[in-house]
Order: sequence, then C-alpha cells, then structure tokens
Amino acid sequence: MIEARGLTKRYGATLAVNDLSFEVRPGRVTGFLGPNGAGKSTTMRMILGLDKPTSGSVTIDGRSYVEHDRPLRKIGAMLDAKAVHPGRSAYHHLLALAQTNGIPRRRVPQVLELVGLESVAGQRAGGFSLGMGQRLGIAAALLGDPAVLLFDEPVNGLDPEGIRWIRGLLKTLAAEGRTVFVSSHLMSEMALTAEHLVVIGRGRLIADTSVDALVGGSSFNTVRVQSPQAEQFTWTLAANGAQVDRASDGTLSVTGLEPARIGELAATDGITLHELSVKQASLEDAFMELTEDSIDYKAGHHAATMITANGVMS
Amino acid sequence: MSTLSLPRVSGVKAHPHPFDVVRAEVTKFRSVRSSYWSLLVAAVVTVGFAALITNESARNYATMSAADQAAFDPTSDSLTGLLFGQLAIGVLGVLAITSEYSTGLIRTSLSAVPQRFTYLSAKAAVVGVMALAAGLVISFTSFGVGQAIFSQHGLAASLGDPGVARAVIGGGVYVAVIAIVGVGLGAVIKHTAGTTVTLVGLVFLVPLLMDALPASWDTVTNWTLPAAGQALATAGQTDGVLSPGRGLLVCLIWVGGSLAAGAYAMKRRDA
Repeated sequence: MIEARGLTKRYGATLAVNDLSFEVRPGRVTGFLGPNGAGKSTTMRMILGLDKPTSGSVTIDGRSYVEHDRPLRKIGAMLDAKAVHPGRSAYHHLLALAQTNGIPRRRVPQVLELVGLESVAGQRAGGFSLGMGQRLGIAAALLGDPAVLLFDEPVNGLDPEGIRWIRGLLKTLAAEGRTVFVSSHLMSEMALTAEHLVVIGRGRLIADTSVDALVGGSSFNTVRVQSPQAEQFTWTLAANGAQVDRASDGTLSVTGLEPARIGELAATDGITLHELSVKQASLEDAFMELTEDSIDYKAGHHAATMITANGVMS
Repeated sequence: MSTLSLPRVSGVKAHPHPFDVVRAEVTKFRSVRSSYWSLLVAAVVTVGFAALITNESARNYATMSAADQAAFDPTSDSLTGLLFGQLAIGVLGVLAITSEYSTGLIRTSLSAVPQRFTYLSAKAAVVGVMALAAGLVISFTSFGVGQAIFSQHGLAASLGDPGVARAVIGGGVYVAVIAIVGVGLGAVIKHTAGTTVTLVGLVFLVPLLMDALPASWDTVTNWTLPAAGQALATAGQTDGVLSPGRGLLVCLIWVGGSLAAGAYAMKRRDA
C-alpha cells in the first residue's frame, strides 16, 4: 500500500505537486491519470525517494522508501525506458541491479523470459527499440518479485500486441495481490486496465475514485426521455431541479435527476412515456470534465479559427 | 504466471550490503567496452611516449650541461608518458558516473541503492582498484621500456636503486587518484563534457598557471594534483619541494575532498 499525505514539491515559483493525499491499495490496478505536466512523474520520483518533497510525506507499507531494506524486493519501478547504458547488454544491466539487492543471478533469465527479451539478452541495450526498452524496464521492475509496482507511462512506444500484453500483465500482477500503480495521460488506456483512479491536474488531486464511480458521477450522464406530452413534462422536470434540453424531434435530455425519480414524476402527473433510458458518459468525457481547468496548454479558440480561415480544416 | 514467483532467500541481511553494491559496480565496469578502451588507450599512449621521450633524452645526454646531467633522473623520465595517459584513465572515472546521469540510469541505480554515499563510494572503490591495477601495469611497463632504451647508453636506473621502486609504484597510484577524483567531480557536475574539461584544467592548466606565478606561491603549488603526482613519481628529490610522503598526503586529500563534495551534492540534490 502506498500512502501520500500532503505531498508537495516546489521548483522555484512552480508548484509541481500541491498538497497531494491519496492511497494506493493492493489487489487492484490503480491508474494515475492526468494531463502531461500534471505532476505524475514528480510524484512517482518522490515515492521512490529520488526527489525530496518540499513538504508532506509518502510511505510504502508504512515506511518511507529509504527505510526499506533491499528496496527492490519490496518496490519495483519502471520510470524511463531509455534509462540504460547504451553499451551494456540487457543481461548485465539486470545482473548489476540484482546484485545490489542480493537477488539471485538465476532470477535474471527468468524476468528476461517473462518480458520476451531472452533472445536479445546479450545484445547492447543501445540498439533496442522503444518497445524493447519498455520491456527491459518492466523486467527490472519485476526483478525483486516486489509487492508494490510503479509504472510510469508503460504503454508508450509499444505496438498493439505489446499494449495488450502489458494490460494482461498489470491485471495479473494485481490479481496476485500486489499493489499496482500505473501513470498515464491516456484515459482510454486506463478505462481498459485500471479499476481505481487517482486523477491529478496542475499538481492537485482532482479525484480519487473507482472508474465506475467516476463515469457514473459525471454530469455528462443524461437520461433520454420521449413522451407525447414532452412540453408539459419539461416544466415538471425543471420545477424539480432538472436541466432539460429539448431536441427538435421532441426528445428530452435530462440531467440532474435519477431515472427512477423521472419515472415517478411522470406517474404522478399522468405523463405517458415512450422512452426512459440512461446515456452513460465515457471515461473520456468524465475526465475532460474533471480536468478542464487543469490543462496547462489548451488549444485556444483563436487557433481553431485561424486554421479554418486558412482552409486547413475544410 | 508462475515465473513471477521468486524463491525466498532465508536470512536476508538488514541493509543493502556494501559488498553487494561493490559487486554490482564490478559488473557495470566490466560490461561496457569503454572501460577496456580507456585502459588500452592509456597504456598505448603512456608506453609510447615513454619510448619516444627516453630515446630523445638518451641521444641528448652527451650534449647536456653538467648541471642538467646531474639532475637527470632516468626513472621520472621514463614515467613522463603518464602525463598523457592519466587523462584516458581520468575520463574512465568521469564516464563511470556521468554516463549514468546522461542516460537517466542514475534513477534506477539510486532506487536500488537509496544510500547515496554507499553508491558513490562503491563506484569510486571499483574504479580506483581497476585504475590502480592498470596504472601499476602501465607504470612498470613504461619504466621497463625506458630503462631498456637507457641501458644502451649506460644510463639506466634499476628497481633496486634508492627511491626507484617507490617512484614507479607512485606513478600507478597517481593514475588511480586521478580516476577517483574524476568520479567525485562527475558526481558534482553530472555532465561528461563539463567534468572532463574540469579534470583537464586541474591536471594540465593549473601547472601552466602556477609556472607563471612567482616562487613565493610554491606553498599553493604544492597542494595541486600535478605537484603531488610529480612528488610521487620521481626517484630522486630534485626540483620538487614536496616529499613523496607529502605528495601521497596531498593525493589522499584530493580523493577525500572530491568524494566528499560528490556525496554532499548527491545527498542535497534530487536524483
């Protein structure tokens, strides 16, 4: 279990991480979601004791990272796929890491086989593709058979087959009871792998919730209502606090009221309903709604107009 | 996914064992070709210059003034090549740490060994021992080649002569000192080019600067690396003011100082 309390990191005038508190529990994949520059990597480096928090703390199973004896046996991390000496073979890269923490040498070929790099184990890592580098980073994270795993943007640079492989791996690791914390700026990816989400924007916690609850709680969840008495029913709904959009064909899109309540109101007023259905927002919609204020560089309206004026869009 | 399970090891020690970290650094050192290239270049350059310089000295000896002939030291003459060879081994020390910073590998290394002082001292120890071994081989080879050339002119020194064995060993020790200082500076500066330039400045530019200064500055000059190196690698005590023992002391201060600066920088800084 990872616990962050009031975690804050300041670089000069910039607050990269701002009073961040969250928990990452074992047995499920927790996604760490946020736009680029939101502070995900900084947070991960603080978890690993690489960067010192300006204030606040983060612990792994109750102890800070540096207090763990032989940390690779407790926490495995993949931060950067390019973080290898280009002249060193994959095998020796992993061997040196294993030796620091007293991990038996025989473990090295095991993890190489697990990530599918056994055939290139003796080759220099400088010639590896980004995808192979990611696999080597994952192998390093798994070396110590750790109970807690951190992955920073693990699907970057992987081909579709590799992406499917890592999704399966993350789920398997979580099913084995491990704590799995995966950062990503791709909500579509997290929708497929994560059960729980920690969402940040501009260094602040935006949501700490399950994927289902995030989608369910989105204001983009609307209820579609069709009725021959649509106009009359609109007044009833509005009087009960709902926001109603009426399309030209008379279909109502209702937000702010549960479908059950809408049904009850219809019964009370004697309204005939032809359709009462929930239209669920995607995780993408929910995420965009949450982080709208937190994206540092949003495409401005001006830019879009200029592109159209130049005829690029049409 | 049974391959994930790691056989538990009984009796796991409390902390990352410094010996384990040293073993890992040996693996890192041995598994990149640049280590061997640096040592080979150092050997070829040093021994090559030893042959050139001693050959030149031997031919000129007859025409030297009486004072120059009296000051002539065949031992230090045969070790002059170390002046150039030290750089290749110094760069070896620099690269041992700056290559980890330039690739980002340092983050992986420090998550495996969060005790930054343990990490830095293990690396310095491995680089130091390798450089010392190579330095001794190179120093003795240079001496052998140089004296073989001098012996044709009846000028050769022998390892049994006073101070000669100490000077040849001193040459090897000095090379190891330069390599370790390279590691310490690398930990402070992080960038390969910047660290290399700093090291070159310390061993090449500082002596030039000191030569331009009046003799009253000798007390300062005596604390520089090249002065210490010269004290170590000279058999007779001719122009140098430093005794070999003082030279060794100055070297140890440089080793301790650069590593302390490196450890302090690493401890304060984010990785």
